[in-house]
Amino acid sequence: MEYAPREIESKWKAWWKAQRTYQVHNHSPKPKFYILNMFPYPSGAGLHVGHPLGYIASDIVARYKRLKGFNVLNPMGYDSFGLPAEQYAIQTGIHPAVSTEQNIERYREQLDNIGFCFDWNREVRTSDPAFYKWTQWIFMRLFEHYYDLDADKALPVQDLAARFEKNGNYGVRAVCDEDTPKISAADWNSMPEKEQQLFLLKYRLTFPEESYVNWCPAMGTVLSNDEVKDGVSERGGYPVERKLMKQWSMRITAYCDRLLDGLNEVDWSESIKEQQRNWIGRSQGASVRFAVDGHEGVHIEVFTTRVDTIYGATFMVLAPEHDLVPHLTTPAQQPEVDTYIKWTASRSDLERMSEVKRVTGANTGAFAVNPCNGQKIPIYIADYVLAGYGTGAVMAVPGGDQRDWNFATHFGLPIVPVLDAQQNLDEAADPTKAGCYINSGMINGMTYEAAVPTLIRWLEENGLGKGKVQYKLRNAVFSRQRYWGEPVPVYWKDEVPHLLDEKDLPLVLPAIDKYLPTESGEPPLARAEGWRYTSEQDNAVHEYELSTMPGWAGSSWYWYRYMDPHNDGEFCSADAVKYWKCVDWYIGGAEHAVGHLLYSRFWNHFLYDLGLVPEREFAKKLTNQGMIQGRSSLVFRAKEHFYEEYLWIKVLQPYFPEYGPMRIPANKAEESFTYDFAFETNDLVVEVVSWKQSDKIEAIRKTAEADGKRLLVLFIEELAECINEHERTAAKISRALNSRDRFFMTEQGPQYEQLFVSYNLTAKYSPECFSKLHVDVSMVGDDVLDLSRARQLSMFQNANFKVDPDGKFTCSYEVEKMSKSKYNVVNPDDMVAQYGADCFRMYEMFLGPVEMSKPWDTNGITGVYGFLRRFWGLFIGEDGAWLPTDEAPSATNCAPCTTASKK
Amino acid sequence: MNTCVSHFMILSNELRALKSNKRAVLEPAVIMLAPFAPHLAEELWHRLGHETTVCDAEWPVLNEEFLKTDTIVYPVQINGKHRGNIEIAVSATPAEVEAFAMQQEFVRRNLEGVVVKKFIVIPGRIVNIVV
Repeated sequence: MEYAPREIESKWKAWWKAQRTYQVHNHSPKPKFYILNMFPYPSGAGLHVGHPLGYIASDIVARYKRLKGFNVLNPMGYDSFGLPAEQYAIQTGIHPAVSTEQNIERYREQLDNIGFCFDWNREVRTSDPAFYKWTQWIFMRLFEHYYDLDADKALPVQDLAARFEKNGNYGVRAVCDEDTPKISAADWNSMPEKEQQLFLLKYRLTFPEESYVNWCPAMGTVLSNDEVKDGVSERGGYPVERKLMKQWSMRITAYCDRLLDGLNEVDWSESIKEQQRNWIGRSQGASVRFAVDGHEGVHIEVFTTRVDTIYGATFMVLAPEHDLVPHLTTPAQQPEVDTYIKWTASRSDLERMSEVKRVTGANTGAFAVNPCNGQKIPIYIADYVLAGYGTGAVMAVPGGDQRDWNFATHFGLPIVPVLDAQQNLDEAADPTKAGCYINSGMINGMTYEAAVPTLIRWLEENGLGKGKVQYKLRNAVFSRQRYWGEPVPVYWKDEVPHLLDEKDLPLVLPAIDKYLPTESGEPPLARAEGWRYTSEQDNAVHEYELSTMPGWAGSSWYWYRYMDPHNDGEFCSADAVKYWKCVDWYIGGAEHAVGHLLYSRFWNHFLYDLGLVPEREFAKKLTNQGMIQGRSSLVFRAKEHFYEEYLWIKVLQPYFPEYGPMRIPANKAEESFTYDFAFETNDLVVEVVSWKQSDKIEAIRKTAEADGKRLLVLFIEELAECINEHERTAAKISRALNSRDRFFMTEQGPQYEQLFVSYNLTAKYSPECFSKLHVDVSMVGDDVLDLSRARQLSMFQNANFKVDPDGKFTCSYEVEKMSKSKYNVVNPDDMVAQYGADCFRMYEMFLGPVEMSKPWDTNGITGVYGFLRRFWGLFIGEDGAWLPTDEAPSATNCAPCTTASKK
Repeated sequence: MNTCVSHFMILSNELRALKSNKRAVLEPAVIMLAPFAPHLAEELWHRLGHETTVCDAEWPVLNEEFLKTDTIVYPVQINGKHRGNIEIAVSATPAEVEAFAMQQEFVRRNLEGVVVKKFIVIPGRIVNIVV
């Protein structure tokens, strides 16, 4: 009896469901194991074979752990708020909830096909009000807390206000806005309520502020830095510009140190950790104030990690958005500066920072004064300096910094060595800290270790600067001018934001007529009629906040919801979180390194501070599964040039050696002579031309007539038609040679218009003979195209195929990203239908290590299928007999060899 | 995990080669396959007479005894050059190994007309004859 996966699999799927085999309980004497996949955004395209890779790997681990005696939580859900559904809604008017629901159904169907042990009873969806109630609830807690540096944790803002009442903010060490003034208790107590509230915003962990954002006009929304790639939106590829807007922000910077330190606690790949470290970018340095020549009382503050190189600063660079730029720019330089600022506005931060090839900038015409030696140095603007990072100004030391060196070289600015160990400054910057200082005033002759404290002391004593730790990480913009996201549980009263009453959660998305910003530029939620908040505090009606939360809000805590998904009174019960604690093994794509994975850690640290969760880090171990790339199939379409080469290689050379056809070079100026073969011993000329080019044919005729030559016109469509029968073309040429007629032309239009050439046959021809086209991989097996199916496609409607001698038509392949446009998407459903889920699962693992990116290659799946058949055959004979016996085993149990290889 | 799949293939081939249809061998194999191919494993598990799911089976315990083989192959070197192999019981003493080696045709042939200076047996590893 043959192995029949289809029957077996449907039978056991139903049985598991009926038996609730995969239901997980929160109470168990067994040790717990929590394995989690990054939940997917349910896109309209459904799953391709690359998506389940991580799910299969975690499913195997989950089942293995269960067999080893663990109580395993392996849940699945959907990150179901997102831009594509909203874009779709804008185009079609269909509510995003409706299309999302449809997509989820499709996902579920595909996932069910593969036989995962997910406990679907615990499914979560971020767009479900019962879920986002708690996302809003966490937002409210963030609003109510500030970060206290003495306690080194988040504390209630209420307590902070109480401290202000007694002592003002003297003695308060807390993370707050940079421009927060010092106030006394009297100052505080004399403030009107509104002022006090606005002052507290400077401390809250989430707060509205004016900030530069990545504004995408085409989508009418703001994007986070990790959603912008190369100056365009990651989704959709729309241009993105910098714009100053009032936005909600998350004070993630409060957690910089803890986010850095926490990396030492987790078993994550070094590459992800390094990306997070770089993104946070902690640096020890100094801020220094440079006076501006001719502008009394104006200072430019710079932050430098290399204050020791201050004597080598030969110019200064400001971010184009820097406040002082309009004041400093001299009239002569105004046009240049304006043009540059305009250009810069179109570039994202990431793009600006990662630009390495081009040096751009503009001179303001103003000069700064180096506080250490009084030297005047020119002030430039350049977009590699970011307004939001540090002070938005850089003292440029071309001797020690390659970027500054490039800039100096480009603009002809001096490059001064400051350390005797610096080498070859004519060729590149040398950032060394070795050797002794030269050209450096008070630190001449000192080493790095001595120079830094000397300079910082001097700067501090003279009120020109101070030592400072700085981070590259900035507060995270938390507002989106979109519809399909969590409403922010805030109402506005007298320009001050207030939280909703907790009993009014969830604040549910209202219905609106169109999913677009209003004509006045307000977010889509402004369209909701009568959507106002009646506060019990004052019994008045107030405007809601109109922006929604970003895509990363719901995903920053969702793993707790799986622990206790139906809890209506808490985001997760203390009992459940005490049992499951945190994720033991997290699996997902590395592309989330500085987005989801950092935001999640931030929220988790915050929840930890509130005593709501037991672990500082939410995921102990992280595996980033590799991408499964598509293995695209490509067919070769003949271009006109092919026919000339074909005629020469396949017809004239083999059939007419005695006539010695002369090939007229293709590079002849007149195009009509490109395909032109003359016969030495005959006055016949062979022309190759398309049937469609009738005007050309007439010209060829006239030329031949004038030259007194006989002419044979071969149409490329004709050649395409009989491409697998060279002798037919040869016969035609032969007839023409033996004839006395002057012209030979086909009267009827040939049937075929296009010719595709089997890849195996293309080696003989030059590359310019073909254009390569993607063809649907489902029609290709072992690189051979299924011609009968292909002919039904519109792209092959009027096509003929030049096939191998054995009648096969081969394709070439390329490994690239799996995408619809490349026709290389392999649907897991097809694989499962053909080979069964078990085979598909094993084959995904067989492809290579989970962490590695690798191409999908269906060609190998039959090997795995063969294994399963043989395994089946160990139990069930060909005649259906049951083979296992109860005999005692000999010492041939080599099975344990697999035990060790697990994990 | 990709290596597990290849190990399974080797295992299955070995079991076939041994024509081993013994339940005590096959049952653990089904459990070990279950994480990878749960449907097939569940089917066979039930055919083996179980009524509850294979998911809750107990992972087989590795039996070190089974991994031990009775004999061992020693490569035999003469003056550092590999001349052949001998297969002998694992429990053989160095003296027994030496005696057994000297009986071998390839050893005798290579030692004709020379004087053995040293006979070194590194138990479990190698035999080296210095002449």
